[in-house]
Amino acid sequence: MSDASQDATVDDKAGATASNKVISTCPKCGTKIPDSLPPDRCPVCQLQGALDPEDKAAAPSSHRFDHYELLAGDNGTPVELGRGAMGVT
Amino acid sequence: MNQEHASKSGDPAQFRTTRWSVILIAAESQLPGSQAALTELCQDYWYPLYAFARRRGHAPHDAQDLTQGFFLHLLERRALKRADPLKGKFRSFLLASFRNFLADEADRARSLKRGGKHEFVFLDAEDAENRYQLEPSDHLTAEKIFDARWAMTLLIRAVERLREQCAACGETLRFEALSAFVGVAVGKAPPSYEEVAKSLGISIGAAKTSIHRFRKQHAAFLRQEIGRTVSDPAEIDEEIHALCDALVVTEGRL
Repeated sequence: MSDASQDATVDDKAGATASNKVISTCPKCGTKIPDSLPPDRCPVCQLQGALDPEDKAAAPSSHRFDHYELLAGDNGTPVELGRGAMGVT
Repeated sequence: MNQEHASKSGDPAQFRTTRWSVILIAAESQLPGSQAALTELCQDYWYPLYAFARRRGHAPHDAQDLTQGFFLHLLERRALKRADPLKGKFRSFLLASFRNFLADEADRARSLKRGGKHEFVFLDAEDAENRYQLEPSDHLTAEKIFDARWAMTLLIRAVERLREQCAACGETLRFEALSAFVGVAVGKAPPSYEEVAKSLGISIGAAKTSIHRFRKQHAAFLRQEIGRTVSDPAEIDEEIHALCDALVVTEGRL
């Protein structure tokens, strides 16, 4: 077995396919993500969604009004659920 | 089940929400079901270790042997005796133990560690190598890739937990309609709101709400899975931030 444990960056991989991959940017957090993933499935945003709800609730947010919360779309803007004579939801 | 205490039924599923440190202690005590639970826990996180071994320069077959051998070593509890499971993260414990194992193995003559009373079937060598060929190949260190891979594995685990819950509640159709909105599976673009509404027989507004709630459920399972890998629930948010940092560093090249 080869001992390559002293060099953390040693890699015998040929082809370097990953470095040629197309990268896109999450419109919400700006993290670069593989183009194979839709922007609304940014792994960083998903992880941040698992942060302590109380901490997130305590943070000032224009999307939260008392116990109501506005749903946000892929780009962070509120999602319209419907509209009628009484206004837009 | 209480998260901190295993039942005597011997069902590994009863450890599903138990912290890793408690599973280790239970396995040391030969508590029924704990050994299987430890095997399951290792099974969930084998790929980041395989990718680590490859990144350290080991050939595919060697990396496979080393990963298999490490889990055998771990599950026979020889490695557990060196650990202080009450402190630290599972991610750090596994990586430190694996590094020690690699150093020990490098001093020995090449010998296969397969066999014995444990036979692992989860290491799909072809799949592992196919996935590894998509890893970044430039300046990123093995440790950085390991942490980012660990984060991706957690996201996948949370989707699996969500799938199990939906199946248990008879909501398989709902899972199938909404699963493309969470996780990191490639090649599966989310359907439109209209398509979700049609497949579930609900209004578009209700579809949007369902997607939102589904994402929240996924986030809850993700938090629960991360909670299993730290020694104190107070460390969960810190671990989330560390994993986010690891993903940012890879710049989308996983």
